Amino acid sequence: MRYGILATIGLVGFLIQSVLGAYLSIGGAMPSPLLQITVTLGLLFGWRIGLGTGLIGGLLLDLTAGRLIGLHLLSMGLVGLLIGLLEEKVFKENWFLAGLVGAGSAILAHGLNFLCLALLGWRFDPVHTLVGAILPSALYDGLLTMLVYSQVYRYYQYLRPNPRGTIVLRR
Amino acid sequence: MGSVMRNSKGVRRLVAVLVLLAVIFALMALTARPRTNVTPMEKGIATLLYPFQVATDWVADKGKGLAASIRELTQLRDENARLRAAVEGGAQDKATAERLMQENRTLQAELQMKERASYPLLSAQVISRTSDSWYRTVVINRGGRDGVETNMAVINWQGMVGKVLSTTPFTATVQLLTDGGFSAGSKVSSGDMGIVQTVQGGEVRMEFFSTAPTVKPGQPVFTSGQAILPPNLLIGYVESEPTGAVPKVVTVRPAIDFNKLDALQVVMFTAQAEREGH
Repeated sequence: MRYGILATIGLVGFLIQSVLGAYLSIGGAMPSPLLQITVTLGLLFGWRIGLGTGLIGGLLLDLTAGRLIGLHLLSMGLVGLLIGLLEEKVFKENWFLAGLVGAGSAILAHGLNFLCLALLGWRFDPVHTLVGAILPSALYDGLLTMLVYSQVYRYYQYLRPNPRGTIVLRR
Repeated sequence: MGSVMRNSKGVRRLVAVLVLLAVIFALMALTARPRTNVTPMEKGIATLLYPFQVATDWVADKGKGLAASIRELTQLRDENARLRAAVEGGAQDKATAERLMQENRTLQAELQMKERASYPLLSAQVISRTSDSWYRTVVINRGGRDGVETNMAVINWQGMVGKVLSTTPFTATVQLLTDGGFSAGSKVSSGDMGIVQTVQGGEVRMEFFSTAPTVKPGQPVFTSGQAILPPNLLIGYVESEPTGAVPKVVTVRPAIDFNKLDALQVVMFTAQAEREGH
């Protein structure tokens, strides 16, 4: 049930991004609902869920784009894994921090995409790419991550692994 | 003993992650090359998304229509007030005549484009735009079922929009001229030939084969027909003086307004087919 709900959240994110993504863009800033969901689930539920969401979401995005397969798979998988590793180190009720992590994750994901494409011989105008696309998108993603995180966090008690609220001692 | 086991587990995990990264990068490198066919999985996902894209496009169209109606209503109110205040009753007639003249100019431009292209054209509608910062593509409501094939040119009345990247039975993905990685054989009106290439970020450049091309800002740039796309499709206009040693490079301002893509036309054959006499 829990995994079903998490998968549904991911699927809704994918549909929003692939169908409505262009309508959400402002200027050069293109938000990534799937990245926001990956960050949210990674921060709330740990690296396994973060990595899984990032890998599956990234693969779906690659298959939808019909271009390079692996670009988003790699960047979003890594973001999900790294953000998930922060799970035990952050206060979960701090949605402002989630926004900052969301913006940082967007810069990391775009940076990885940039690096991979450059290694594969794509030509870039670095200043335009950074100022015109990466930074505005990161700011936008950061703001939307706060929104997504605050909404998913409302149901955290029901979605977390131990719904009874008992304290689990970790080694 | 325990720490050794933990270490070996850590090493195994690290190796697994590195292998996974290498596999993903290899997959990326393999699919980075131009592909004539998309995988069945990509085709399946695009087909599944088609109804959602059509529905979204329909809703967006209705939304735009509603917004236009509201705007029009406000404009009409103002116009009404103006008309009431106007002494002559010919103001409305003049506005109608101007609108008809504008419509006439647009239709003439479209007709000229059709005559200039002289290729069989298939009308198509944009149903979705790219949702990614790295690619500039649109999805149109025509696909393999309508005879659309990979590498066919896509145009509108202003000039060349891009080329077909992949198709599903119902849709086709069009790589826009402003997509990083777009390239096409091109020529300027003086006859100098070269390659138009787009840099990531949307800047279109033309690299000349000749070391001393006769080119100046404002000259139109057309497809050369030497590679995949048919000849004489207007790409844009030379924007800068040639720079660089070899090859000489100019920037090109696309003829199309990419913010207003709606009705497009697919040129129903490729230069390769023309050369082969199909």
